[in-house]
Order: sequence, then C-alpha cells, then structure tokens
Amino acid sequence: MVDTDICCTVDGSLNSPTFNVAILSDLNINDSNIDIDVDTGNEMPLDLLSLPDDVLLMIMSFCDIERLLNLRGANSRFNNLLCTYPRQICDQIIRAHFPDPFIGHYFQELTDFELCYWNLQSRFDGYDYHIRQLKRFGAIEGYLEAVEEILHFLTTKPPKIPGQHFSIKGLPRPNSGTKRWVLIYFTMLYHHNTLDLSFLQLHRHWPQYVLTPTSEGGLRTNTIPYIYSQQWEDAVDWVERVLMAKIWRTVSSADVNSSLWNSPSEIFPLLRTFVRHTHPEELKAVVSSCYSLEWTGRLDKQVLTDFRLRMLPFGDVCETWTRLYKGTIHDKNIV
Amino acid sequence: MSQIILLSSDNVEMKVDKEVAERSILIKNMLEDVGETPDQAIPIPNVNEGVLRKVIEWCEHHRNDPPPPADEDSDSRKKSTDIEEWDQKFMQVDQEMLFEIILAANYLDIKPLLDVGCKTVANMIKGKSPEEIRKTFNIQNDFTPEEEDQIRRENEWAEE
Repeated sequence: MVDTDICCTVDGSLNSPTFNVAILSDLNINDSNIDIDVDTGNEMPLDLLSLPDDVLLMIMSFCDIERLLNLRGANSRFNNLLCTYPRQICDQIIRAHFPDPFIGHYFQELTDFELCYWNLQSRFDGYDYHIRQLKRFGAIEGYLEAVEEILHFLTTKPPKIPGQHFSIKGLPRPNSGTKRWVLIYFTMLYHHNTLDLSFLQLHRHWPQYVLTPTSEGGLRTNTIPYIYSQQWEDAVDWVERVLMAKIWRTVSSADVNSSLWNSPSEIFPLLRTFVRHTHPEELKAVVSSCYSLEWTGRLDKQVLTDFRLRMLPFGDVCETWTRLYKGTIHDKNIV
Repeated sequence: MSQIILLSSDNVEMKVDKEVAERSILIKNMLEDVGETPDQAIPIPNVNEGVLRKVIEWCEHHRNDPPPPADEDSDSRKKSTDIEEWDQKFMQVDQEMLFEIILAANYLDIKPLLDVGCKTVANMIKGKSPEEIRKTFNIQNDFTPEEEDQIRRENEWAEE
C-alpha cells in the first residue's frame, strides 16, 4: 500500500540512501501502521503546509480578515497559528510571571530580589521569537500590555503615566497591603480563562480554603490571619469596582471610539467581571443594545471586525457573547 | 564588475554579479565576513539549480531597487494586492516552484522576494472558502466535526 501523506523518500542525489525518518518521529504515530513509500526520484513535492510557521505567519499577515477566517477553517495548522498558539503563548508568559498563586511567598513581604524577578525585564524570557511573530496580528500585544501594566502597578517602578492605570476618579486606590492581593486576583483571572463563575465565587473567599503541604506529605488548612482575608476582600472589591465602572462606562455609553474595543487585554477581564455582577436580563439588554443596528451602525465596521478577530484566541468569551446575543444563556452562576 | 560563483544543492555552479548576489542578506553578510571576493564557489545547500536560477533572475531584475524599509510591519508592506506587474508574471509558476522560491527567499534572506511570494499565496487564497483553500493547496481537513462546528461558530461571530 502506498500512503501518499506519510512517506519516506530516498534522496536520489546521494549514493547512500537517506531515509527522512524525522517525518515519522514528528508525527508520533505507531510505526507499525505506516507503510513506507520508497521514491527513488525527487523528494516529496512541497505544499503550503511544508512551509515553516514564520513563513505561514507572513502569508497570513498579508491576508484580510475574511481570508484569515477561511484559512483557520481549512486546517488546524492555521487555526493554531491564529488562535490556539497565541492563547498558549499568553498563558505561558503569564505563568512564567505568576507561577502559582497558591504558594507561601505571596504571604510574605517581597524582597528586592523577588521584585527584580517579577520586574519587566524578565517578562519575555524565552518567548522573544514567538512574540515577534505573533505581534504581527496584534493578537497578544494588548494582552502583554495588560501584564506589563499590572506589573508596573505592583512593583516599585513609577507608572508610565502617573495615576493612570486602573484608577478612576472618585474611587480609592488600594493601599500597599492590598496590592499583593490584587496581583493574586489578576493572576487567577488570567490563569483561569473561563467563565466558570463558581470558581470565582469560591475564591472570593479563597484564603479560608488554602491548603499547604505538611512534612508528612499531607495537606493542612493554612492558618492565615484574618487581616489577609480582609485585604483579599478589599482587593477584590477595589478591582471589581474599578473594572465595573470602566466597563459600564464603555458599554452603556457605547463609546464607539474607545480603544477598549480593540483591546482583548482590557475587555477580557472586564467582561468577566461585568458578566459576574449583572443580572442576566440586564446583561442581555446591554449586550443586545451593543449589537443593535443603531449601535453597530455608529461603530466603524472595521473596528468591530478587528476587535472580534483579536478576540478569537479567547473563544470562551466569544462564545459567551454569542450566547448572550442569542438569548440562550441561562447560567445560574451569573448572579 | 566583480563576480562570484554560487553552488546549488545539486552541485551546479552559477556565476553572478556580486551586486546581484548581495540582494541576499545571507550572501552579503557572508561576503563581508570573508572580506574579499572569494575564488571558490559559495555553496547554497538548501536551493537547487532550478530555484536558484529563478532567484537570481529576480535579483537581476531588482538589482537597482532601493533597500526595503527597516520597519518590516509598515503599512505599505501589508497591501497584499500590491505586486508589480513584472513580479506577478515572475510568480506565474506551479505551486511547488512558488513554495521553493519562498523557502529560498526565506533562507537567503531576500525580504522583498519573500514578500512577493507570500503576497502571491495570500492572493491565491482570496475569495476562497475553507474547502476551496483545501482543494487549491491540496490540504487535508484535519478537524473533527466538533472542531469544525466550533470554528464555524466563532467565525460567524467574527463576521456577523
């Protein structure tokens, strides 16, 4: 049997036959299921998927939205490059910076060394190449900016624009004691990119549930002073109020020129908070109004489609918007 | 004018004006490192004779072009329909040769040629459904029905 998709070739230009076994090992397929086609002529013809990722990304960078969407539907390789891959890279970057919120040192004062470790210089470690490629779409640029913004906010470095960040006039900024909790809160938001609201509800009271390893290999409930719990609550409240204010201001005023619509990094956590704190009926009304002809008519079509394309790596959010739009969401966890 | 010799992967030597060969940043850097025009042939192990001839043909035609802008993401670069008439004709080759040229341009670091190749492929995709793209490029549909459905839903969301 000749398998045209998976075959090994003999390089006719050499006297000693060379089997390209890398193809087989890369596919991670049981060898016994593969028949080897020994082609004594030329190598297997090149096709589009033979091109390396960076070249495919370059081709995609010349495509408009319609072409990108059709490409991603044609084969998983394009889908990965456009959606899955950016999402994974984002997650990896975030994990590299916030390895695990459930570890002890979050409960202690940060040392200079730790501050340095969390500092901005380390944020792209190991991902330079991928980020350069992926930035072509701007798919993760905003996401990274948000991480940078949070790091700026949480480290001793002064903000790029003093007082900008997440503060909104009239709302209190967190005191230094709550900053760590804000960090943890954001970490969780970024780690758990789902709209599993029960998870958030549980971790709203998270300090009570923390378990730490014992010397015997078991787990015990951590005895965290109440003050931390209070700080946690303060941090959550502060973040939520700010984010809520921000999203309400944008969505309800339908500010079509807001850069928010082009920034998944901002809209992503905002959406989550927005959904969490709004009654389904109210939510549906607001979202429907955002999709209304009147509203979308005022919104530059390109801006809207661009926003949606950039949101594709965050499919769960897209899905929720679609469900909300079609009125099929009835999740008790929302309220 | 000084000339250099390029050696294709199938051991064919080609004499080329140095100026033309230096459209390739890879060769340009190599020559700068060596410091003088080498007498020996420069091996181009990843490019066979046929493809190398095409690449040289392109470099000959564009030998006097200004260097590409430093900003590789500049707007002018992103206009996919923006392909010169000569380049369009140059790229009227079968798909395998087109991809070979793209790979060679990538390897030899000839950005403008790589751009033309990628734009040509991007233009071939224009107006085609996923199924038509698969047919055009002989690509396998490797999605499960569930994955296809998910992508269709997300695409609808993005396009509506």
